[in-house]
Amino acid sequence: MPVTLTSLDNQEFKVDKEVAERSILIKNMIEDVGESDAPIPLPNVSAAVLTKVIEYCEHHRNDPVQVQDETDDPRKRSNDIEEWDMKFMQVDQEMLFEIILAANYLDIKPLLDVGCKTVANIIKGKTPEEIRKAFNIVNDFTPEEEAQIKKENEWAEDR
Amino acid sequence: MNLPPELLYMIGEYLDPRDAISCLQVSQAWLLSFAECAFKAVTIVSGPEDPNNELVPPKGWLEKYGGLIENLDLRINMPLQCLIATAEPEDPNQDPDDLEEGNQVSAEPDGDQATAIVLFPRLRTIDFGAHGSLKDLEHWLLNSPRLEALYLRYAKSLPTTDTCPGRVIAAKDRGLHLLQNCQELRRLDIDNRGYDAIELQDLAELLHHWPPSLTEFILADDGFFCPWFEPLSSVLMRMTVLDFCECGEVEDWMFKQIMCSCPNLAEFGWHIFVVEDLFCEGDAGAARTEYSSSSSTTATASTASVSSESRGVRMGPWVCTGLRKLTFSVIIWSNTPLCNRAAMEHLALLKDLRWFAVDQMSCELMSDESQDLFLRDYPWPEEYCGHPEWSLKMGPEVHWIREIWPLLESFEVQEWNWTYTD
Repeated sequence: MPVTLTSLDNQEFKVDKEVAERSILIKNMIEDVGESDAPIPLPNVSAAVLTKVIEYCEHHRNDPVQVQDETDDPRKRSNDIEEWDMKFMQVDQEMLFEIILAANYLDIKPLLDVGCKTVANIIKGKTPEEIRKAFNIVNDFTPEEEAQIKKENEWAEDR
Repeated sequence: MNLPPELLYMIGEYLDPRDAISCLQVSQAWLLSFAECAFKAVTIVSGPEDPNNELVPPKGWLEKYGGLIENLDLRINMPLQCLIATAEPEDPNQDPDDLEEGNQVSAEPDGDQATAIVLFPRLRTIDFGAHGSLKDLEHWLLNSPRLEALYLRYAKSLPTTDTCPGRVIAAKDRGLHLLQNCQELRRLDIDNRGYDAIELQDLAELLHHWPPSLTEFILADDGFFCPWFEPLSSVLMRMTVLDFCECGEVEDWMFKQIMCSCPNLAEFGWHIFVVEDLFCEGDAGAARTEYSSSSSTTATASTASVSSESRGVRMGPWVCTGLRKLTFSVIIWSNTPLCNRAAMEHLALLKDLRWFAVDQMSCELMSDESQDLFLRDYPWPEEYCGHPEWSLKMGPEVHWIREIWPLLESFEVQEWNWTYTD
């Protein structure tokens, strides 16, 4: 049975229920409301981003439910992104951040994880200045502050 | 466009420290989120010959970022005041005996000391390393109310007794005073090797008064454990994790008592002991006083009934059948095949076992008969037999072991390593 999702900019998307329910937020809403034809409003997600999110959910509609990662290692791996997901995430930086925000809002953990891994992979090996360039971030430190932060933390870089 | 702090933090979890530290230099907004990731787990290292080692944080760093640390590994060889910008220097002439009398730092620090206080509201695990002073240990304990695990190491090579941090918590009154602040402490790991280390009777007294949160106890001792096992035994009963690393002169009756009196035990490690008649219930056991818990399976009854006169313990009913992890190392197995067959039968009681390890040394010390029983008679893959680095991850070919322990995920013969606790 299809459900209708309404984006921030009032575009409607008809998707299969099982696809929509990859989002825990939507799944809970459907369970709370019960059987209904009323569109589900998603006021935090634009049509462009929702299109991408639905594409992801369609592709992963049959994936098993993700179990909680119980490894003791506090550091997670980011080099295990599936090929399809990697291509899916080849978008501009703004869209990448929008997808991560949407995945967080819609509670789609696998998409959130792959988004965070993608950003982490972009960051790896870059200097602070290169990171700023990659993500269009303005440096709001004074030169003195920047130098101090660098100096006080360089001991920890090779831990 | 920027991401909120919680998402930056999630990204930071995929970064190594170097990259996380690059991130915290990017902008004010990124600073805190990535500092949380970068300094969640911190190791502070310093070589004894170079107190200004580059791997030591500069003075003032702890005041700024210490509140973010959850897990701290101090392999440091310098007093804490070297790291704290506002700290008063430690008095080098202070008599170590004064420290044990509780004359040094109070829970309510006065003027000068107050400036040295750093709070560690998130600190859950601290490995105190082999160095540092008693004052430092007090400092950490008094300021870490969420501490869950405390690892204390002892360096034999250091000349003065006050360098054994375990003594501070074991000292009467003083230890209790400190640990009142650690109501969530779950794990205590003490490396007590050395002839001037903790008096185990003090430790036993301390453990008796410890908050019930403490359920994991790891002790590395160098030959002094036996006399204090019984004072400790009633405390050990509530433990879920027990590990006696390099506790020389450990006797098999202790093993029996633990197996028969620790109903909650989930992990157990036993290192360096001689198995003569460990699993024998025949003549060897009968020659000694019978284990008096045979009429009772309750932990309380069985522990209370064992005295130093009744160490000839026969294997009573095991109450720790929920054991999930078992490690034996440097065990000298009996030469009698019967004992080892009995060993297998008893070990087979541990149906919940998921992880079982013996070390290479233990296997080498087995008699041929024992090895036949334990290793060769069973269909181990050939490449493991006789190889010094046996390590068998459970595969479909090992049917027999699956029959004994249906839930076992790993059986390992580990490389023998004396530096287990270092």
